[in-house]
Amino acid sequence: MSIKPVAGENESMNQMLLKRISIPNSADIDVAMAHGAYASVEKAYATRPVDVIDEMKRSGLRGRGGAGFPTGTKWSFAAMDPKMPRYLICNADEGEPGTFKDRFILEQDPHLLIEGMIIAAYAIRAVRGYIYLRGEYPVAFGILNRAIAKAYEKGFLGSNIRGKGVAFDLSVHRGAGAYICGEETSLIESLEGKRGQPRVRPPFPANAGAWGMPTVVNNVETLANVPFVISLGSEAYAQIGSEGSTGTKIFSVSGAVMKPGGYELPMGTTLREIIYTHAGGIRGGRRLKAIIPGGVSTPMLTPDHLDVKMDFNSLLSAGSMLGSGAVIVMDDSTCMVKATAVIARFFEHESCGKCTSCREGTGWLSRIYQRLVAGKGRENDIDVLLDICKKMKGTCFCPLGEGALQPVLSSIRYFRADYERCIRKDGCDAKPCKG
Amino acid sequence: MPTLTIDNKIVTVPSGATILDAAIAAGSRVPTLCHDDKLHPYGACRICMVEVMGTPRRMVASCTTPAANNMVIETMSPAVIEARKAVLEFLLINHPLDCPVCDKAGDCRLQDLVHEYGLGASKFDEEKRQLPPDLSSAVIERNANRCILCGKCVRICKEQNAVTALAFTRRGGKSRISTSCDRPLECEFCGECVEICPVGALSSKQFKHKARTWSLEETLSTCLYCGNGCPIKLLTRKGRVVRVSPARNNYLCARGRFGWDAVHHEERLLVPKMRKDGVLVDCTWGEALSHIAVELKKIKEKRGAAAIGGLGSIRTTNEDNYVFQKFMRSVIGTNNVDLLARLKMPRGLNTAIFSAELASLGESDVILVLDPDVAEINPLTGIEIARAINQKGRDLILLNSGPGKLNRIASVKLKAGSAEIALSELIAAIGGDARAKSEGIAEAVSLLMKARTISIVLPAELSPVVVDRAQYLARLLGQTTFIPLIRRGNLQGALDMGVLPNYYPGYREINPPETQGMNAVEMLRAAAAGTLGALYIMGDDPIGNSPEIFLMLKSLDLLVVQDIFLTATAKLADVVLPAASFVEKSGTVTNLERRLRSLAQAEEPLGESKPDWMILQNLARTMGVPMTYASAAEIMNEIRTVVPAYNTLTVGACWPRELSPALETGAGLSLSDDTFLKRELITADRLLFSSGSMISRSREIGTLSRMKTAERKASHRS
Amino acid sequence: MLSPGVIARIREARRQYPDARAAVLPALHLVQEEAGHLSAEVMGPIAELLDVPESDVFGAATFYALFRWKPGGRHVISVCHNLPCSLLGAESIIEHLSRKLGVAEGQVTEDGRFSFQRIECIGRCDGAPAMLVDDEYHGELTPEKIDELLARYA
Repeated sequence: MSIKPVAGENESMNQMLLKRISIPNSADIDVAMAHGAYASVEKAYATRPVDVIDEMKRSGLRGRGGAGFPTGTKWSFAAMDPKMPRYLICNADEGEPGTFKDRFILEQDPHLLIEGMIIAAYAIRAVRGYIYLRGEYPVAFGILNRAIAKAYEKGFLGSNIRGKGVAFDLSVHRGAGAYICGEETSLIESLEGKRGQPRVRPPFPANAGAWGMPTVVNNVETLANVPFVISLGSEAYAQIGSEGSTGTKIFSVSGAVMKPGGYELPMGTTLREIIYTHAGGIRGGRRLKAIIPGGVSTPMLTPDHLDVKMDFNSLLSAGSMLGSGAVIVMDDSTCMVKATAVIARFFEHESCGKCTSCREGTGWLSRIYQRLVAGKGRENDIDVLLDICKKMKGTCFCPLGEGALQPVLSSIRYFRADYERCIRKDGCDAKPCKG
Repeated sequence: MPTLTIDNKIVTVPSGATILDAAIAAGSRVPTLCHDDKLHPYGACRICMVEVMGTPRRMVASCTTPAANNMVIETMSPAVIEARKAVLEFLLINHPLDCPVCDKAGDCRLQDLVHEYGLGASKFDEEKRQLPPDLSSAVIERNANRCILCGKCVRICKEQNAVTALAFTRRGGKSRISTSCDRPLECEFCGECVEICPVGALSSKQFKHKARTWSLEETLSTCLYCGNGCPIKLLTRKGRVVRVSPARNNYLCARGRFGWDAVHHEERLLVPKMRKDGVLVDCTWGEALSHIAVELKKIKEKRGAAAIGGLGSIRTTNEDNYVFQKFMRSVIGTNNVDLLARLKMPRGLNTAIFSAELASLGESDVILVLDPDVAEINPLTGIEIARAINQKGRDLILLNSGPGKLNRIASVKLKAGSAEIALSELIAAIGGDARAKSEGIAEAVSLLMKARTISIVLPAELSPVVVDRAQYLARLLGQTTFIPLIRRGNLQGALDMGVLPNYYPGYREINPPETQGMNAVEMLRAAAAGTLGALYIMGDDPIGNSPEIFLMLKSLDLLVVQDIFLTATAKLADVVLPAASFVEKSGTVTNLERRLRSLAQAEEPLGESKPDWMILQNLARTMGVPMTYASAAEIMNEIRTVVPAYNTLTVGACWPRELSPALETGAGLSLSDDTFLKRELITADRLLFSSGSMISRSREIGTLSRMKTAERKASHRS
Repeated sequence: MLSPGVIARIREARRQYPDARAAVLPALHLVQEEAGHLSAEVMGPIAELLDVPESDVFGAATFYALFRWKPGGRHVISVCHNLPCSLLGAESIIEHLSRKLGVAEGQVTEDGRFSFQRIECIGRCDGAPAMLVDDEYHGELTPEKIDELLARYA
């Protein structure tokens, strides 16, 4: 591996999730345990499952996968359904382009995730868990399998965990290249061996998820927070972060910055601080042009938004979304038509094809973009793009289609001049489409 | 029970109802493409979007969104209309506008909706997708370009029939409904996918370019290929059947949907034939009937009426059979009248006692299937089982199945040496005998003991032991119904009509016993021994089924065969009379559920052929006996007075099993004890596309049959 | 058509789930790992082994982007072409690879050593532009670095 294995330098005292990864061999269970891994399991076991759920509710922890649903509430729904067995699934299908936050945990601190899952399973009384790992993470696959085997050896997994009479079995299920499987019902379909296409809801996974049983699906980062809620206590945990967004967030910063990387910072840190203080500012002395704050399915922002706080509510107010916290930075050399074309191509590739609007809409959008970047723009292309977005809006089966519109709408909104130059073929110096 | 407002109308719907259900209850018309009441909700096409008022207003797919209390819904708001137009525009991106050559035109949901919503010119100005059509599958043509990916075909194939030959393949804009590895279709060819396709993506080869849908006329009738007697629609153009569809909410198998084409086969008998100088030659009705009349009289005078016998038919109507037995009894004066099909009825199994309604499978908590080939022997039973499991969540206990469609949906897979052993072990286990047994017995017993209602699907090869043990098991379990796999046409009706040597119509026993006639086996023996002078066969082909019978029939003085084809038996006949096919006549049949079904005439009889009853009536008249039925309905009126069970029986209703006399007397209606011919007459091929004088002349079924044979050979090799 | 080893491993994978169908993806991965790619010939055997309709196996196998249907090189190079990598030159990396290997995307080099393809985000955006060679990541790619890397794969 030639990529530097460390997350971005950040010695903030709020660092929790990425604290262990700078330690050599942090994926080794003995090393991890020497630095506190699994300490929260017995603390959790000393209380009742319902207490763990209440603690989670009080902590204010919200899902880190994109939707931001309150974790404790999600658990309580499944815990209230009398059907057994129940399943716990870790969503490790980190597919939102620009996102690589979970990778740090999966590759360098797998025991933090397993610890979180053991506690979550206890809370919802699940005896079986799966880590749904994206197929593009082959290294993590090996690491997780070894970590799980070690956790079994140490008695943290199995039929009688640490002699406390609690059972929980865990294994890794490998995806095979499908962004849609980040959506929880598609993920469950994929786990069941089917095409990863979203299910009709209701019933919700909490009541009829994997194999028709109550199921909780949580993101890696969400589950990695669980041991800290237990060890710090919900009150102390809730002190971290901002209004409505407690805890820290690992921001995946990529694109035209000096120091791309994963930065664990309190919720509510401004984009300016993330980009300029932590990621070292814009590369090559260029000027900032556009920011995607939460992965390619979230609306783009401009330098005017640098002081927006990176948390659930602030980003909504700014017309975007926290998403996965993947900050993609573009400088003034970027043609926004070309950048959006890459995203459009991605959504066309990843639309599952189930519903009419997304299947046909993403394909149509992408075909126009590919024509645009080939220098074959037409006078009415902007209108047609906007019209397609209008037609897709509110008519898609799942959030994927809605996500596909955001980069199109926001890039036209803020960077219409790029589109006009592209269509008129004058003054556009972006490569390779030199109009 | 949520109450909500739809288009300003307040409706209350059962809990669990969708907005679509509520809209229908409110009288609003919401278009659908991927939705079908028969299938699980899917929500993919997005055409059924409606607007939920409130702040903010939101668009939802009505087919998958539960109706909730106090919802205010608009189904035709400007936003809804915009959304539907958008969906239609999206669907037309890749859909070719080849309606002029598409057989679906006129009956196409997409075409209708685009027309209704008045779509203007699309802004779409890019390349359309081009996929190759599948022209190599049997019977069914698949045109992926026309496909709107609603998935109804995939779901009906999986949910209703458990075959799962079709699946969504690939992804996104490249999605395509196809078979494994895009091979030609390999399935039961029930054609339900064609039926349910809202556009022209799946179409019948048989119907290809035969007619525009709006020129079709519809005649409701009944399929006669097996004892299920499914209600069908005969679709005709200019007085000729071009297509068969299931009537109402029914479904059909390959034979019912595609096998009717035999009635247009070039070998249909168009005129009577009689043997002159040893050769069968065409003749007039007058010549043929006179000849028969003269010969029959001669034999009757010389050797007595007992030297004449008649074999009725399970391929004709109740009316035909009624007139047949009446002709034999009152015109000829003999009780030598019977059905060869009785040879295939297992002893002790009076179908009238045993048969439950097929639909009862869906009402049973547990279905015990004792024949793993059920779906091949009787496709309709297979479909009904799959529906019960997939759509109603029932449990299936399946005996001795290999991998396959029912095995995949079975809750318990029993492995026992035979049906006899399985039944004995189940009985023992229920009785508390816990000794080690065949695989799955314990699980099966626990399901059976919990069940409130149970259906047992009996094996096709029924032995008396199986029948006895099944009945014993049923007594232990209570609330058990039996579904036999016998798949003969109008067997029940022909029995009810008294085509029996020992019963008059309505199972009135003939007394004293000496006056009873010869049964079918005795007649064949007597023919071989020379004691039977004449045999009149209506709609059956014993020689075709068993060539050895040729030797038995060849010494008859007179053999008359009345059929729609020149069958092997007809080739030996002295006179051959052309009968009208089932699409060319009216009447009734009685299916295995004892349900009366009606046939309605959709075509004029081909050539000079006539309905069987009319031929018999004309012959009676030629013999000087007046018979004056003006129609099949008039015959039915007489049947109602003679057969108590039919007294008030209406079409579509079942006659009550309590009226079966065999219940009281215990008398079987089976001839299967007589092993003399049983072996010959039970065709070795039990499978779906096995031969029969009619089905073997269906071009479509012929294709399937050859394919299945090739498949079986290939699987034997590998 | 499936090797005894693969059959045994599929059976083992199947034990992780309450239902055999869930082993379809593991089975497809295992077959691809052994054979290098999937083929029409393995759909039936997988379907039969797990008693899943064959069309469903094919439907799932064609849904996921990481399953290949034709042989790749001994080493399969997957270059990320999503936005973060694209912003930092993924397209010129792809052009360079194509020139260097003398084959187009999806093709195998004459010596059978390499094939290369595009891939969506592989989660190495902090090392963009990045790629996978078999199961190994490489990031911060430049034409020079690629030349150096390729030499390391036999």
